[in-house]
Amino acid sequence: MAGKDGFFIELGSITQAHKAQKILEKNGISSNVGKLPSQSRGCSYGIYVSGRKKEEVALLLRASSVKIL
Amino acid sequence: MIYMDNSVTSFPKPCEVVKETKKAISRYFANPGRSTFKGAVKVSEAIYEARENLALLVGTLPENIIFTYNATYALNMVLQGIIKEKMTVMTDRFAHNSVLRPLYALQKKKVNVKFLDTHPLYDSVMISSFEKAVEKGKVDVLVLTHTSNVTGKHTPIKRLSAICKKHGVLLVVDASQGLGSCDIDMRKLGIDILISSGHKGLYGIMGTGFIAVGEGRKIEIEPLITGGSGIFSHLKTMPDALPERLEAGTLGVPGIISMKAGAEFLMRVGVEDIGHKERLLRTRLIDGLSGISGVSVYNADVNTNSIVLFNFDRLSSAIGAERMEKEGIALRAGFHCAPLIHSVIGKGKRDYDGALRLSVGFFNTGRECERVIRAVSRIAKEV
Repeated sequence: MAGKDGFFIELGSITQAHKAQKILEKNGISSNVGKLPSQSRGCSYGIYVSGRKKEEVALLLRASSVKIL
Repeated sequence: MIYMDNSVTSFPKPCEVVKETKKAISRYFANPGRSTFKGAVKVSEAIYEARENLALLVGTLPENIIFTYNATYALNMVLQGIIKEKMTVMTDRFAHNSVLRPLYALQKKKVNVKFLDTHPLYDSVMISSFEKAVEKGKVDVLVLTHTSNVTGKHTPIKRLSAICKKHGVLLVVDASQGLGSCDIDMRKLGIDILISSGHKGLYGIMGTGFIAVGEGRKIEIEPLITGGSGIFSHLKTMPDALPERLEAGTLGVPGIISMKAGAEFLMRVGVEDIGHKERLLRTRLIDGLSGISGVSVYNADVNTNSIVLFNFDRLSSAIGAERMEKEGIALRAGFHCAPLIHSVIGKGKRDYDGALRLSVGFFNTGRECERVIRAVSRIAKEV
């Protein structure tokens, strides 16, 4: 399982985070659900991924209709 | 006790529902969608899996499943969330008070509420009524009852949905009675919003229900309840995206897990097989009761799964229910929170005070049906 290093992709809700996690899992990419606070809006969920390029992961998620913030 | 009140709530629950619900109470202790420690993420994962199961069952996306505390909450959230002043809403006469009362309340806020002509048996009456209505003027929303909780009649959703698509009418379906024993696929039937209770045909525990929004439907549902969402705390409004937009506050985790397990049970056994068994049991009851002198069966000709609606000719429905209870049979008497269809059934019948409703479930047996028939026969002879 990926540790909390690598990069964080902000997705907003916990539902989107789990959706993204499942999509990545089907593609052999492990991730951890995490939360980042934001001064302007407040906390937001996302996933931590390591060992892959961020652009590659983002492309995969967007292709599966996951909204990346 | 022979339990034949499954239209109110199903009983017994499948083993997997009982097991998973008990597990949820003891193991899923953290509040999902709030914290990020391992235990909390585990719970939120289980909640997501519940969304996946329900989405698979009804034909939409997991993120389009919104959990509520029953179908009444769900209907109020949807109807009050989408219907605005001066809109025209139509519904059928099978509608339950969980549809009717929110619509009557909206009527006071200058919403135009109309009723489809509804025949207990013939679909053509409803279809023709809707065709005339949309040709006459704009209809914004159509709220349909998938299966009547009084007669068991299935509404011709697909045919009405086609008319909705042609005229830009939003279709909302209350599937509380039919889900679990009928194949209800939102994509195939063209349903925009589906609502169901979780504790009837889905075999979850009481205090559960959900809203399902059709895939790709961009429907603006204004949140009726606002509060904590676990994200974007600095915003003064609920988040934009579903499901969190409509899920303020702490979720009823054990209930949701019970629905998850219920959906797994349905997918394991097969909705078609469940419906088939219910149909066989119902036919047995209809055949038995129809032959008893002093008993009137009102829905013998309805093509449906589980409901038998009848009365003892010389007893009020309330007394009839008491007598049935003395025979060890649990059913429901009265108007079943669906007054309009009872007005249709009771028309011309002197002293009509509602009816007795037997509603079989998957776990009822043929032997129980025989005992019910004998009990009804005894009571009819005695009065």
